[in-house]
Amino acid sequence: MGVAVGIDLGTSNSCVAVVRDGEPVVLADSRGRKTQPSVVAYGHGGKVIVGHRARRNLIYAPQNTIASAKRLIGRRFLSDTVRRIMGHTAYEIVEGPNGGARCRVMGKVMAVPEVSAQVLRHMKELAEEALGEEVDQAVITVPAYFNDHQRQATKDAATIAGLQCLRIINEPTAAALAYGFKQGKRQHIAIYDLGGGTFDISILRLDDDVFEVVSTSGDTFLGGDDFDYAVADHLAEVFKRQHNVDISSLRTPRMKLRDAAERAKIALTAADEVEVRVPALARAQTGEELGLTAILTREEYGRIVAPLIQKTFLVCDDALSSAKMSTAQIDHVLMVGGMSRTPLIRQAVGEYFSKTAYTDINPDEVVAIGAAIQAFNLTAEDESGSSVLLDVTSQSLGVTVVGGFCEVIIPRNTPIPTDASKVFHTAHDYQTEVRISVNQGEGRMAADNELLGQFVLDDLRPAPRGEVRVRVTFEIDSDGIVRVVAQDLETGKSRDIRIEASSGLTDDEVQSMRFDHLGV
Amino acid sequence: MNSKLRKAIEIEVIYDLLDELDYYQLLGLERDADPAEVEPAFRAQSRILHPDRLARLGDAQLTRQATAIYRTVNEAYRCLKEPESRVQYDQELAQGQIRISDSGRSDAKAAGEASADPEKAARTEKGGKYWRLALQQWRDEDYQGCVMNIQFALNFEGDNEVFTEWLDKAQKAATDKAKTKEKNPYKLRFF
Repeated sequence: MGVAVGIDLGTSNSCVAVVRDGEPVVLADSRGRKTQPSVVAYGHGGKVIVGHRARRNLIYAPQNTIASAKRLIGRRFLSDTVRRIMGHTAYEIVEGPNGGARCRVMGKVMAVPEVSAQVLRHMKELAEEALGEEVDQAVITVPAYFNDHQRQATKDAATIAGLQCLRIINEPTAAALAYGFKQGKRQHIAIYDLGGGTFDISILRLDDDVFEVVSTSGDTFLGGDDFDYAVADHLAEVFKRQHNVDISSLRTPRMKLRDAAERAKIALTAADEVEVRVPALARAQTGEELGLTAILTREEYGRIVAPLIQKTFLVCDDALSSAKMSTAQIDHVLMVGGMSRTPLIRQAVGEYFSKTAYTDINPDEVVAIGAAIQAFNLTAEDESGSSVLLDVTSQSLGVTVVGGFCEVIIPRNTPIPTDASKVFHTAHDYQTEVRISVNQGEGRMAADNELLGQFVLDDLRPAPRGEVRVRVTFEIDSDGIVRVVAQDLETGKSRDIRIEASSGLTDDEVQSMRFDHLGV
Repeated sequence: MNSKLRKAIEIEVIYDLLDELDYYQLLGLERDADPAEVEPAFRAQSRILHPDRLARLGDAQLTRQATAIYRTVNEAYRCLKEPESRVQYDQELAQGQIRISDSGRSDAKAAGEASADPEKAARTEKGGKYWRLALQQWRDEDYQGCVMNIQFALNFEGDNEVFTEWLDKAQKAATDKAKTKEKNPYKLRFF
């Protein structure tokens, strides 16, 4: 049997780690780099490039290069989120056969898990090269706020890449594992995780070898990229003032500005101000090339991104109130995600919690380290040195009831694995079928939540209304994935219903996409 | 006997007994245990019974059994850690119910919410009269009527914050309801 690793499959960058001789180690590529861009570039003749080399392609052939696939994974084509992403990508996003978002590159339509699988395979191969051993199992991290679809799609990506997914764990929880590894002290910690594409906050109680998540909250559409886009918008505005040309809706100049914004952001972590130069953004009517030269100060940057930082604190308020705790009861604050490098954000987080945030573990590596520790917990020969992780479900699971309301069956922040049942009655005489819609989210109205799927209980005994009763049990497993079982209370006959993932892939589709089966 | 085998037998025994174990037994607690003992007991049981502790044995059936046990351990913890649901459960347990029923659970939840606000929020007799009507209408999902009666109640107690908070809530619910009348996208239909 091969080695089990931990993989942080990030929106912008990915990282792989393993526990060796009781210590977690981050694995580097042949050039010593410990993180790899989660970018996949498709070339002619089915050629695929992943990581640092693919990232360079982003500027020259953006239409063939997929970055931030994680923002699309497990999402419906018609969702607002996908609409928003479409405005930012140079490659084409199309609707899949079952309503899921897919990517079209070089004339080929691909499911998003196929793209993520390229990144996972890249990490697997990197680990195999570093370790000189086969790697066939992995714990993969996802944002705490990922729903059932997104988790299932991430698992599918692992299968396609030829990895057995030991467990899907939440990124902030993984960070807590890395932080509290072998610490043994009883304490409450908050994990503030601002990554490339998502924001999560989790509150944990650490007690010796037990890591218990008390509450979690997040926003799957708030991350470093949004900071970059906010700055890019500002730069487009400056450019407009300088040359009276509006480039804010043009793809290529936008990509250049976004790239410049990201570089400026990084430069500003060390410098108080930075000069932004972007040549050849547009052409004047005279044919002369127009570029942008502007000074961006830390203060100005702070002003541009302040509303985004404020948004994260609203999410923190929510997590604290679910945990019935105040900031004073938090012993330590751990910052994770690339954005925790920004001094401005560190300072704001420090002020919010009234304590200095802990940033000793490299924010780019901490999640992968935690995933590796969990892989160790699940595979180590004996229990010594291993810890147990008690996580919660980050979103409420409910069914749609009359009036379009959502009736919660399993509230969010319920420890997993868990289950709950509800008895459904027939509402009409001689009704033989009951249709049930399952959704996930905190909206009072079902339409505001993510529809996980619908199923029909048929073949019911025709009888006067209310007489036929069906007990439906909803289970959430340790990966945060939902399963439904229905039992006819009259006959005791039970049926395992798979929620038809209306945007996901079937098992057969996943199998047919497997790289090892395809021989690619 | 090696430790793996012992653990496997332990899980199987608990699994066989699962339907007979009450929440206190599942958490290894006495029925009169102090509220402060619940959390440490849950952690202690988690160390032993969490399915992840068995993953290394690679026995799928054992992991399934442990998962079923642990789901119930979670349920027990959720029920016993909150004073309201624990009281509710103790009553049900006295009548021989070892699992809190779904209705019991939601009743306990409703009871918990009630102690936090409604009925007692009114400070004047007249305000209280309209307030009670408003709450009844809220329960009947007559949000427009609810809005109206809260407004009446506010005539008597203009500074009552609970009233104003509920007014917002009822107004929002009334608008939502009006909207769904138009669209009603995912109605749970019985054919």
